[in-house]
Amino acid sequence: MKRLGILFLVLVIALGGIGAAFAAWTDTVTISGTVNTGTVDIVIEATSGTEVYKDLRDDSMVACYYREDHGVKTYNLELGPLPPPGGLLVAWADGNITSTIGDTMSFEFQNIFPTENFTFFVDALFQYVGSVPAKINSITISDVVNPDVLDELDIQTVALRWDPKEQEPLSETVDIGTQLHQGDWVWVVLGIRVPQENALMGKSASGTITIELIQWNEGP
Amino acid sequence: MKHRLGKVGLLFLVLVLALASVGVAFAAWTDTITISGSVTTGELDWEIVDGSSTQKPDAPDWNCFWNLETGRRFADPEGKNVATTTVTHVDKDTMNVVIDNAYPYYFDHIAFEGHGLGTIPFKIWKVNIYRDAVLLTTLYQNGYAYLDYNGDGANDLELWWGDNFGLQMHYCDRVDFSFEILVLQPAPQNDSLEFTIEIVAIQWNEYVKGPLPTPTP
Repeated sequence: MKRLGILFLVLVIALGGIGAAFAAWTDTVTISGTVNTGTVDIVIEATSGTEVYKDLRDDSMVACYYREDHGVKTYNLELGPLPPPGGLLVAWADGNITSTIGDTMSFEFQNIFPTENFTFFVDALFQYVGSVPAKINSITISDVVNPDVLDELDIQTVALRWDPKEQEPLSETVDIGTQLHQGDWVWVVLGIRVPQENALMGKSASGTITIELIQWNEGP
Repeated sequence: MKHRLGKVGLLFLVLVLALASVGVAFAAWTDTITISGSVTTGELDWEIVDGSSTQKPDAPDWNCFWNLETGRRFADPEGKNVATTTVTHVDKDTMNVVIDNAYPYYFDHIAFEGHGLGTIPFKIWKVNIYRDAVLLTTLYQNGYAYLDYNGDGANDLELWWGDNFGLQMHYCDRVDFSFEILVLQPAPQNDSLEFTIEIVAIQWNEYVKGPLPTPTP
């Protein structure tokens, strides 16, 4: 009996000691958190282009302007007429949205020629859809093929804010550092005139324009 | 008429006398004292005080460039209100923080009051930080945690916990706690980044500045 009692006492003390080391009383309060991040995102919503026809009825040159919005082509009768019936399409400037998420477009000026008071142009309407304000950080031109040809052309660019309700440009220009908020629209026009120089016949040139936006709090 | 004890009667008499003598042997005088006992355990309990949380004003947003360790904190000079931090008191043990439309270098400093409830004094022992319910780190002293949500090796969130490790609290004590959160540049856009912070208090007499010691065999 005496031995058993001592053994029991030792066990109790040992177990008590282990319990104290492993299992102190604690109480916990919890902070659960969720960070839902926003977006910086601009998309190309629509493009416009130019078609130049020869009206075979009287040999006149007819310039037509159209807008292509999500696959629907509409001629702008405020800027020009409808294509002449049976007219010969001679030259055109066309822009196409080439990515499903609307961040890439290609443009093509095809068979353009010298004109006195006429500019071939394409344009694009951009909508800022990001939830975080952004600034235009940079506009770069890269992958230029035959830059000497581009140097000889009369190239004009215009970027203005756009009023989507009135469907017309506003007076405020858009440039590096311009800040865009969700729902803002920008109208960018690229126009080309070919000077009267025989050396420019049969030439081809190409390049890539990249417009980078950056969150406003880190922008220029 | 005379009755005589038969053999059976004699045996009965012997048994009665024998049992009587045994009874005398078992019924000695005794006296007993009794110790009755009960142990009422205390309670280690504390809470987040409802309505005590504070944060940076909703507008303008606050930014911190480029990290919480050495970064410069300032309100957006344009006064913009782009992201929104909402702090909700869920119950006495739980607080919920939601930051909507967050963007890189959006920053907030969130404070709240802790309140001692239990009967056992306690000390603030450790802070567990979880990313998507996975324990990422345990802080036993002021420190930072970096959370990479998409496994690209670049941290998306930075958390700082700076308060009150080892501080002893008693019943009804109120103490201010705070932490900071910073969205880092690699944070994915249009995503939901979840974290959990557990603040663990331990009974005052077993507090150590680190994990509890393991018992020696």
